[in-house]
Amino acid sequence: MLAVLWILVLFPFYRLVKILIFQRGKPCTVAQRRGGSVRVMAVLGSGGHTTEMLRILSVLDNEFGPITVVVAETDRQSTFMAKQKLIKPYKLQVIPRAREVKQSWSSTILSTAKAIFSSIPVVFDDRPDLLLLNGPGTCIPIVIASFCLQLFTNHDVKLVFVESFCRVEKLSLTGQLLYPIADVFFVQWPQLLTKYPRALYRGRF
Amino acid sequence: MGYALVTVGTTEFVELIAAVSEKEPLSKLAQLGYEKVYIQHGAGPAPKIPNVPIEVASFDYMRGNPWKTLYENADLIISHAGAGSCLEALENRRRLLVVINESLMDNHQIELACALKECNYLEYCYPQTLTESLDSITKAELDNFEPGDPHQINHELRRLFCL
Repeated sequence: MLAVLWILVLFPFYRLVKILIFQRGKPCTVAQRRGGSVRVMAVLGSGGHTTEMLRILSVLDNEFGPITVVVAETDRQSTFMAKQKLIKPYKLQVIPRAREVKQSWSSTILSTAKAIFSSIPVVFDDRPDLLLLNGPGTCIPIVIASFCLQLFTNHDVKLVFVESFCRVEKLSLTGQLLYPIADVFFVQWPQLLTKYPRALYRGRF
Repeated sequence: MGYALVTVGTTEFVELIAAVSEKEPLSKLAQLGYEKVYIQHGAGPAPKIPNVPIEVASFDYMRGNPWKTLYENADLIISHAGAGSCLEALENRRRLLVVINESLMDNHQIELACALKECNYLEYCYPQTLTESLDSITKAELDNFEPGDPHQINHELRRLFCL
Protein backbone atom coordinates (compact mmCIF):
# COMPACT_ATOMS: atom_id res chain seq x y z
CA MET A 1 0.00 0.00 0.00
CA LEU A 2 2.70 2.42 1.04
CA ALA A 3 4.80 1.40 -1.94
CA VAL A 4 1.91 2.08 -4.34
CA LEU A 5 1.31 5.46 -2.72
CA TRP A 6 4.98 6.28 -3.11
CA ILE A 7 5.22 5.19 -6.75
CA LEU A 8 1.97 6.72 -7.96
CA VAL A 9 1.56 9.82 -5.80
CA LEU A 10 4.40 10.98 -3.61
CA PHE A 11 7.32 10.44 -5.96
CA PRO A 12 5.56 11.98 -8.99
CA PHE A 13 4.48 14.92 -6.82
CA TYR A 14 8.03 15.44 -5.57
CA ARG A 15 9.25 15.28 -9.18
CA LEU A 16 6.60 17.73 -10.39
CA VAL A 17 7.53 20.29 -7.75
CA LYS A 18 11.21 19.79 -8.52
CA ILE A 19 10.79 20.13 -12.29
CA LEU A 20 8.38 23.02 -12.44
CA ILE A 21 9.39 25.06 -9.40
CA PHE A 22 13.01 24.41 -8.52
CA GLN A 23 14.58 23.39 -11.81
CA ARG A 24 12.57 25.17 -14.49
CA GLY A 25 14.92 27.17 -16.68
CA LYS A 26 17.93 26.43 -14.47
CA PRO A 27 21.14 25.13 -16.06
CA CYS A 28 21.75 21.40 -15.67
CA THR A 29 24.94 19.41 -15.55
CA VAL A 30 23.79 16.16 -17.18
CA ALA A 31 26.17 16.66 -20.09
CA GLN A 32 29.20 16.94 -17.82
CA ARG A 33 28.18 13.78 -16.00
CA ARG A 34 27.86 11.95 -19.28
CA GLY A 35 31.07 13.03 -20.97
CA GLY A 36 29.71 16.08 -22.74
CA SER A 37 26.80 14.72 -24.69
CA VAL A 38 23.18 15.86 -24.63
CA ARG A 39 20.55 13.52 -26.04
CA VAL A 40 18.23 15.56 -28.21
CA MET A 41 14.69 14.87 -29.33
CA ALA A 42 13.13 17.26 -31.83
CA VAL A 43 9.59 17.15 -33.17
CA LEU A 44 9.03 18.23 -36.77
CA GLY A 45 5.70 20.02 -37.00
CA SER A 46 4.96 20.42 -40.70
CA GLY A 47 5.67 22.93 -43.50
CA GLY A 48 7.25 26.11 -42.17
CA HIS A 49 7.71 24.65 -38.67
CA THR A 50 9.76 21.80 -40.12
CA THR A 51 11.92 24.18 -42.16
CA GLU A 52 12.67 26.28 -39.06
CA MET A 53 13.44 23.22 -36.91
CA LEU A 54 15.80 21.68 -39.47
CA ARG A 55 17.70 24.96 -39.68
CA ILE A 56 18.14 24.90 -35.91
CA LEU A 57 19.19 21.23 -35.75
CA SER A 58 21.74 21.79 -38.51
CA VAL A 59 23.70 24.36 -36.52
CA LEU A 60 23.76 22.56 -33.15
CA ASP A 61 27.25 21.70 -31.92
CA ASN A 62 28.42 18.08 -31.81
CA GLU A 63 27.76 17.82 -28.06
CA PHE A 64 24.08 17.83 -28.95
CA GLY A 65 23.65 14.23 -30.00
CA PRO A 66 22.47 11.64 -30.63
CA ILE A 67 19.47 13.33 -32.23
CA THR A 68 16.06 11.74 -32.50
CA VAL A 69 13.65 13.36 -34.94
CA VAL A 70 9.95 12.70 -34.40
CA VAL A 71 7.43 13.11 -37.22
CA ALA A 72 3.70 12.50 -37.51
CA GLU A 73 2.74 9.42 -39.46
CA THR A 74 0.92 11.30 -42.23
CA ASP A 75 3.59 13.96 -42.63
CA ARG A 76 5.65 12.49 -45.47
CA GLN A 77 6.83 15.96 -46.46
CA SER A 78 8.71 16.46 -43.16
CA THR A 79 10.39 13.05 -43.43
CA PHE A 80 11.48 13.96 -46.94
CA MET A 81 12.73 17.40 -45.89
CA ALA A 82 14.74 15.92 -43.01
CA LYS A 83 16.37 13.46 -45.39
CA GLN A 84 17.29 16.29 -47.72
CA LYS A 85 18.36 19.02 -45.34
CA LEU A 86 19.67 17.36 -42.18
CA ILE A 87 23.14 16.12 -43.03
CA LYS A 88 24.14 14.97 -39.54
CA PRO A 89 23.21 11.51 -38.18
CA TYR A 90 19.77 11.23 -36.63
CA LYS A 91 17.21 8.61 -35.78
CA LEU A 92 13.69 8.91 -37.15
CA GLN A 93 10.67 8.02 -35.00
CA VAL A 94 7.11 8.09 -36.28
CA ILE A 95 4.03 8.71 -34.13
CA PRO A 96 0.36 8.88 -35.18
CA ARG A 97 -1.03 12.37 -35.57
CA ALA A 98 -3.14 13.67 -32.68
CA ARG A 99 -5.47 15.61 -34.90
CA GLU A 100 -5.86 15.97 -38.63
CA VAL A 101 -7.16 19.26 -40.01
CA LYS A 102 -10.99 19.26 -39.91
CA GLN A 103 -11.19 16.15 -37.72
CA SER A 104 -14.18 16.20 -35.35
CA TRP A 105 -13.47 16.86 -31.66
CA SER A 106 -14.91 13.57 -30.44
CA SER A 107 -12.62 11.45 -32.59
CA THR A 108 -9.79 13.84 -31.71
CA ILE A 109 -9.92 12.59 -28.12
CA LEU A 110 -9.42 9.02 -29.27
CA SER A 111 -6.62 9.83 -31.71
CA THR A 112 -4.88 12.03 -29.13
CA ALA A 113 -4.93 9.14 -26.67
CA LYS A 114 -3.46 6.92 -29.37
CA ALA A 115 -0.76 9.50 -30.11
CA ILE A 116 0.17 9.81 -26.42
CA PHE A 117 0.22 6.03 -26.06
CA SER A 118 2.69 5.62 -28.90
CA SER A 119 4.78 8.62 -27.78
CA ILE A 120 5.56 6.95 -24.46
CA PRO A 121 7.84 4.19 -25.82
CA VAL A 122 9.50 6.72 -28.14
CA VAL A 123 10.39 9.01 -25.23
CA PHE A 124 11.17 6.23 -22.72
CA ASP A 125 13.48 4.41 -25.17
CA ASP A 126 15.60 7.42 -26.08
CA ARG A 127 15.33 9.27 -22.74
CA PRO A 128 16.19 12.69 -24.20
CA ASP A 129 17.87 15.37 -22.09
CA LEU A 130 16.61 18.08 -24.39
CA LEU A 131 13.21 18.26 -26.03
CA LEU A 132 13.26 20.79 -28.83
CA LEU A 133 9.87 21.96 -30.10
CA ASN A 134 8.49 24.69 -32.31
CA GLY A 135 4.84 23.71 -32.75
CA PRO A 136 2.19 23.05 -33.89
CA GLY A 137 0.07 20.72 -31.75
CA THR A 138 1.67 17.50 -33.02
CA CYS A 139 4.33 17.93 -30.35
CA ILE A 140 1.92 17.86 -27.39
CA PRO A 141 1.75 14.03 -27.07
CA ILE A 142 5.56 13.96 -26.92
CA VAL A 143 5.49 16.63 -24.19
CA ILE A 144 3.01 14.56 -22.18
CA ALA A 145 5.15 11.45 -22.63
CA SER A 146 8.24 13.38 -21.51
CA PHE A 147 6.39 14.44 -18.36
CA CYS A 148 5.52 10.82 -17.67
CA LEU A 149 9.20 10.01 -17.99
CA GLN A 150 10.13 12.82 -15.62
CA LEU A 151 7.43 12.12 -13.06
CA PHE A 152 7.89 8.38 -12.80
CA THR A 153 11.65 8.23 -13.14
CA ASN A 154 14.50 10.41 -11.99
CA HIS A 155 15.35 11.51 -15.52
CA ASP A 156 15.22 15.25 -16.32
CA VAL A 157 14.16 16.59 -19.71
CA LYS A 158 14.77 20.22 -20.58
CA LEU A 159 11.92 21.57 -22.68
CA VAL A 160 12.88 24.25 -25.16
CA PHE A 161 10.22 25.86 -27.33
CA VAL A 162 10.90 28.14 -30.29
CA GLU A 163 7.88 30.23 -31.23
CA SER A 164 7.38 30.79 -34.93
CA PHE A 165 8.61 33.98 -36.62
CA CYS A 166 5.00 34.42 -37.76
CA ARG A 167 3.88 35.25 -34.20
CA VAL A 168 4.35 38.94 -33.56
CA GLU A 169 1.83 40.05 -30.94
CA LYS A 170 0.38 36.80 -29.63
CA LEU A 171 1.73 33.32 -29.05
CA SER A 172 0.41 30.32 -30.96
CA LEU A 173 -1.94 28.00 -29.09
CA THR A 174 0.85 25.47 -28.59
CA GLY A 175 3.12 28.30 -27.43
CA GLN A 176 0.56 29.46 -24.87
CA LEU A 177 0.24 25.92 -23.55
CA LEU A 178 3.97 25.37 -23.25
CA TYR A 179 5.04 28.84 -22.03
CA PRO A 180 4.43 28.02 -18.33
CA ILE A 181 6.34 24.75 -18.40
CA ALA A 182 9.15 25.37 -20.89
CA ASP A 183 12.70 25.75 -19.56
CA VAL A 184 13.61 28.10 -22.36
CA PHE A 185 11.01 29.80 -24.52
CA PHE A 186 12.31 31.66 -27.57
CA VAL A 187 10.30 34.30 -29.40
CA GLN A 188 11.39 35.97 -32.61
CA TRP A 189 9.85 39.42 -32.08
CA PRO A 190 10.75 41.70 -29.14
CA GLN A 191 7.12 42.91 -28.87
CA LEU A 192 6.22 39.60 -27.23
CA LEU A 193 8.56 40.17 -24.29
CA THR A 194 6.27 42.66 -22.55
CA LYS A 195 3.46 40.12 -22.42
CA TYR A 196 5.70 37.10 -21.89
CA PRO A 197 8.63 38.24 -19.72
CA ARG A 198 10.06 34.72 -19.29
CA ALA A 199 10.61 34.45 -23.03
CA LEU A 200 14.00 35.00 -24.65
CA TYR A 201 14.49 37.18 -27.70
CA ARG A 202 17.74 36.55 -29.56
CA GLY A 203 16.83 37.95 -32.96
CA ARG A 204 15.39 35.98 -35.82
CA PHE A 205 16.56 32.41 -36.36
CA MET B 1 11.58 46.58 -66.74
CA GLY B 2 10.26 43.07 -66.19
CA TYR B 3 7.01 41.69 -64.88
CA ALA B 4 4.74 41.73 -61.86
CA LEU B 5 3.35 38.55 -60.32
CA VAL B 6 0.07 38.46 -58.43
CA THR B 7 -0.34 35.41 -56.20
CA VAL B 8 -3.03 34.19 -53.80
CA GLY B 9 -1.30 30.95 -52.77
CA THR B 10 -3.24 27.74 -52.26
CA THR B 11 -6.56 29.37 -51.32
CA GLU B 12 -8.61 32.06 -53.01
CA PHE B 13 -8.71 35.80 -52.57
CA VAL B 14 -11.49 36.97 -54.87
CA GLU B 15 -11.25 40.65 -53.80
CA LEU B 16 -7.56 40.86 -54.73
CA ILE B 17 -8.05 39.21 -58.13
CA ALA B 18 -11.06 41.46 -58.84
CA ALA B 19 -9.13 44.57 -57.77
CA VAL B 20 -6.04 43.79 -59.81
CA SER B 21 -7.88 42.92 -63.00
CA GLU B 22 -9.45 46.41 -63.28
CA LYS B 23 -8.34 48.92 -65.86
CA GLU B 24 -6.68 51.37 -63.40
CA PRO B 25 -4.17 49.10 -61.66
CA LEU B 26 -3.19 47.38 -64.90
CA SER B 27 -2.68 50.70 -66.69
CA LYS B 28 -0.74 51.89 -63.67
CA LEU B 29 1.58 48.90 -63.92
CA ALA B 30 2.10 49.63 -67.63
CA GLN B 31 2.79 53.28 -66.82
CA LEU B 32 5.32 52.27 -64.15
CA GLY B 33 7.19 50.33 -66.81
CA TYR B 34 6.19 46.72 -66.20
CA GLU B 35 5.89 44.75 -69.40
CA LYS B 36 3.75 41.87 -68.25
CA VAL B 37 1.53 40.78 -65.36
CA TYR B 38 1.05 37.18 -64.25
CA ILE B 39 -2.04 36.50 -62.16
CA GLN B 40 -2.19 33.30 -60.12
CA HIS B 41 -5.82 33.20 -58.99
CA GLY B 42 -5.88 29.89 -57.08
CA ALA B 43 -9.27 28.39 -56.25
CA GLY B 44 -11.15 31.57 -57.21
CA PRO B 45 -12.57 32.28 -60.69
CA ALA B 46 -10.26 33.35 -63.51
CA PRO B 47 -10.33 37.14 -64.00
CA LYS B 48 -11.77 38.87 -67.07
CA ILE B 49 -9.07 41.14 -68.38
CA PRO B 50 -10.10 44.54 -69.82
CA ASN B 51 -8.38 46.05 -72.80
CA VAL B 52 -5.15 47.44 -71.35
CA PRO B 53 -1.72 48.43 -72.69
CA ILE B 54 0.06 45.60 -70.84
CA GLU B 55 0.29 41.88 -71.43
CA VAL B 56 -1.64 39.83 -68.86
CA ALA B 57 -1.49 36.06 -68.28
CA SER B 58 -3.61 34.29 -65.68
CA PHE B 59 -3.59 30.73 -64.34
CA ASP B 60 -4.87 28.94 -61.24
CA TYR B 61 -1.75 27.18 -60.01
CA MET B 62 1.78 26.52 -61.21
CA ARG B 63 4.12 24.12 -59.45
CA GLY B 64 7.74 23.05 -59.33
CA ASN B 65 10.50 24.68 -61.29
CA PRO B 66 8.39 26.82 -63.67
CA TRP B 67 6.79 28.48 -60.62
CA LYS B 68 10.15 28.87 -58.91
CA THR B 69 11.64 30.55 -61.96
CA LEU B 70 8.64 32.82 -62.40
CA TYR B 71 8.66 33.76 -58.72
CA GLU B 72 12.38 34.31 -58.33
CA ASN B 73 12.58 36.61 -61.32
CA ALA B 74 9.53 38.76 -60.71
CA ASP B 75 10.29 42.46 -60.29
CA LEU B 76 7.23 42.92 -58.14
CA ILE B 77 5.24 40.36 -56.19
CA ILE B 78 1.72 41.26 -55.17
CA SER B 79 0.74 38.65 -52.63
CA HIS B 80 -1.84 37.68 -50.04
CA ALA B 81 -0.60 38.02 -46.43
CA GLY B 82 0.20 34.32 -45.91
CA ALA B 83 3.32 34.00 -43.78
CA GLY B 84 4.92 31.43 -46.06
CA SER B 85 4.45 33.62 -49.13
CA CYS B 86 5.76 36.75 -47.39
CA LEU B 87 8.89 34.97 -46.20
CA GLU B 88 9.47 33.28 -49.54
CA ALA B 89 9.33 36.61 -51.35
CA LEU B 90 11.59 38.37 -48.86
CA GLU B 91 14.12 35.53 -48.72
CA ASN B 92 14.31 35.72 -52.50
CA ARG B 93 14.86 39.49 -52.17
CA ARG B 94 11.74 40.33 -54.16
CA ARG B 95 9.95 43.66 -54.04
CA LEU B 96 6.78 42.73 -52.19
CA LEU B 97 3.36 44.33 -51.87
CA VAL B 98 1.11 42.43 -49.48
CA VAL B 99 -2.62 42.83 -49.96
CA ILE B 100 -4.59 42.25 -46.78
CA ASN B 101 -7.73 40.17 -46.87
CA GLU B 102 -10.13 41.99 -44.57
CA SER B 103 -12.42 39.01 -44.24
CA LEU B 104 -9.58 37.41 -42.26
CA MET B 105 -9.11 40.50 -40.11
CA ASP B 106 -8.17 38.77 -36.86
CA ASN B 107 -5.66 36.58 -38.60
CA HIS B 108 -2.15 36.67 -37.15
CA GLN B 109 -0.72 36.85 -40.66
CA ILE B 110 -1.73 40.50 -40.78
CA GLU B 111 0.34 41.15 -37.66
CA LEU B 112 3.32 39.68 -39.46
CA ALA B 113 2.80 41.83 -42.56
CA CYS B 114 2.49 44.97 -40.41
CA ALA B 115 5.61 44.11 -38.40
CA LEU B 116 7.59 43.47 -41.58
CA LYS B 117 6.44 46.82 -42.95
CA GLU B 118 7.65 48.51 -39.73
CA CYS B 119 11.06 47.01 -40.53
CA ASN B 120 10.81 48.45 -44.06
CA TYR B 121 10.97 45.05 -45.75
CA LEU B 122 7.70 45.36 -47.66
CA GLU B 123 4.57 47.45 -48.10
CA TYR B 124 1.01 46.43 -47.58
CA CYS B 125 -2.37 47.68 -48.72
CA TYR B 126 -6.01 46.67 -49.08
CA PRO B 127 -7.75 45.66 -52.31
CA GLN B 128 -9.36 49.16 -52.45
CA THR B 129 -6.02 50.97 -52.25
CA LEU B 130 -4.12 48.75 -54.65
CA THR B 131 -3.62 51.26 -57.49
CA GLU B 132 -1.99 53.95 -55.30
CA SER B 133 0.16 51.38 -53.56
CA LEU B 134 1.57 50.11 -56.85
CA ASP B 135 3.15 53.52 -57.26
CA SER B 136 4.71 53.66 -53.81
CA ILE B 137 5.96 50.05 -53.77
CA THR B 138 7.66 50.46 -57.13
CA LYS B 139 9.46 53.60 -55.98
CA ALA B 140 10.06 52.52 -52.37
CA GLU B 141 13.60 52.06 -51.09
CA LEU B 142 13.19 48.90 -49.06
CA ASP B 143 15.73 47.24 -46.79
CA ASN B 144 17.11 43.81 -47.56
CA PHE B 145 15.75 40.97 -45.49
CA GLU B 146 18.86 39.33 -44.06
CA PRO B 147 18.67 35.64 -43.17
CA GLY B 148 18.13 34.81 -39.48
CA ASP B 149 20.79 33.36 -37.20
CA PRO B 150 19.92 29.98 -35.62
CA HIS B 151 23.36 29.85 -33.93
CA GLN B 152 21.89 31.99 -31.15
CA ILE B 153 19.81 28.99 -30.09
CA ASN B 154 22.90 26.79 -30.00
CA HIS B 155 24.57 29.39 -27.79
CA GLU B 156 21.67 29.47 -25.31
CA LEU B 157 21.43 25.66 -25.26
CA ARG B 158 25.13 25.39 -24.44
CA ARG B 159 24.52 27.66 -21.50
CA LEU B 160 21.49 25.61 -20.39
CA PHE B 161 23.57 22.45 -20.37
CA CYS B 162 26.68 24.10 -18.86
CA LEU B 163 28.78 23.29 -21.92
